[in-house]
Amino acid sequence: MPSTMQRALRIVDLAARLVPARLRDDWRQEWHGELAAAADAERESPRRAPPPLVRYALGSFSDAFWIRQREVADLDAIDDLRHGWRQLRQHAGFAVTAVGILALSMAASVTAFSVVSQILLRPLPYPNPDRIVTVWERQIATPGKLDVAPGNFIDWRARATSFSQLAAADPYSYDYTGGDRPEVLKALNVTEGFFDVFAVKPLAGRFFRPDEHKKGNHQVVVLSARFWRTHFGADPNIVGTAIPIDNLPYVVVGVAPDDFQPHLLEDAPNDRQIWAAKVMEEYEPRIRVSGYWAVAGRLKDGVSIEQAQAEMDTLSSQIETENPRTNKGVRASVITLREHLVGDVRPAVGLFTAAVFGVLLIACVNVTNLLLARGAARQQELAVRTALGANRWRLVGQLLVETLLLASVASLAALVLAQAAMRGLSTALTHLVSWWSAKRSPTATFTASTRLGSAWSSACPAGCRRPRSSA
Amino acid sequence: MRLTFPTALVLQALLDGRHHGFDIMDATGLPSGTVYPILRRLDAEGILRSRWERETVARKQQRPARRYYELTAGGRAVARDAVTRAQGLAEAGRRLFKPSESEG
Repeated sequence: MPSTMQRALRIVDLAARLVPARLRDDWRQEWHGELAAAADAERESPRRAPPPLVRYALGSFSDAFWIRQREVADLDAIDDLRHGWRQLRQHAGFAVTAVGILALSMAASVTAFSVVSQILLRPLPYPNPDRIVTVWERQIATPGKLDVAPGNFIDWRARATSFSQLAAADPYSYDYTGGDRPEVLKALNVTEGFFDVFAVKPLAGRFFRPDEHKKGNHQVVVLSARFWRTHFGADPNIVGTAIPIDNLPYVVVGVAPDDFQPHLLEDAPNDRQIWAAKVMEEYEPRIRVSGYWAVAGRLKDGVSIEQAQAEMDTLSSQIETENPRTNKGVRASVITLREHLVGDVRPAVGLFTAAVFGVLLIACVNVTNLLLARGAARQQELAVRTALGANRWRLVGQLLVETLLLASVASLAALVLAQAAMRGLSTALTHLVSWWSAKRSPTATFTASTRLGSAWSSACPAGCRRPRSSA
Repeated sequence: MRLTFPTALVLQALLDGRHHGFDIMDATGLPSGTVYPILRRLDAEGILRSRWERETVARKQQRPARRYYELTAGGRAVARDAVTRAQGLAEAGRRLFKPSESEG
């Protein structure tokens, strides 16, 4: 391990690179001398606290910067920036056109990326989300997804071994009369193990116990986090108290976490406000046609989705043999939760994104052309600068700074535009994609920086080519 | 001359007979990143001059030679003046920043 002294010397040597070559050796020696003297002082009187050599050495950076600033008369970049800004202001027409083109196309691609990342890339808010599947009915000849009939679910649950948990959700609505005026609550009546499928932890209280799925104990509900906040001021003491639902007292046993809205059923763009404990009705095992339940399960460790599908195929055939009248040609499809949520929109989203990035590419080419054209008009200015002693790197640097400035202004404008677009799109998307949530937008900022980078690099060819043609 | 408070501290240290960068840091309590730019500026303005310490001294102590800073004759006057002004400033500060008695 290097000693403190060695580390300090290394820092100083690094800082020395900033110092103009003419002064560098002297400068380095001065710092080395001082550090050595400080280290000696420590050795002579070891009772004193050791001098913070590394911190001393870090100060050499401000010293080096200070010298550099004084010695290198024109700090190139700042100079170029100032010059570039003047150029853009003098040629406002050009600047506005270029910035406009870039800003619009960048805003479009930022928006596209935000949408894509939220729909396709954002992880589902559950532990091991890849293990969560949905199970649907389908007719043997057609690929679609059909809601599940209670009788079939009951058989699946009793016989399937691929799942550590298989649960159903029965869409329902309740009248809530505990507020200022009566309200209809969107709800799911869920069977045993429903929350275990998603492996989430309650915000407060607990989820349902097995005995609460029996008649007599079943008047219990879990609140959604949002409903808990809007109607009960996020009061944790609500757990254990009864609220009036369908004119009966239902005891609140817990509150689901914030992100918990599995959106299993596509009929409901709005979130569920409560979950109630499902009690199997006496007649339900007999219902095998025109289902209306959603079924979700968690795959056992080591069981692949193909294995689960194979098992469900076998099961479906068995059930078909047992119930030839109702289950003729009825099969089960095992589909991952993510596929269930995004499967339908993925091609559309992909196409949309490709189109938008195509537009960005075209815009970049256009702006590059604009820059090249202006480069031709600037031959004279560049010739003068060359005559005054600017070398090629200096000219390229200048042109690069100008294009970067252009791209920076454009990306700022694009950010604002993209924010507005996201706001508009969110409303539309809530109807299109049932589980869309508008609240996550930090990706937009992240993407903006990505886009900034790409705009910069697209502007670079223009910067590099012009001096060559003018030299 | 632009007089910042740290500049005055550095000048006072020089008047007190500190001649090396790190000794001035010790005396003033200022970080190296502050002291050195000030020394460079004072050097450029002719208030102090600098030279390398004698090789023999360095060799005897087995380390690289240190840079030696001292006030020029003109600089000494400027320094005294600057320190006086800074003292006035410090005095005003002491009065102004004192925990106010009138408030209670």
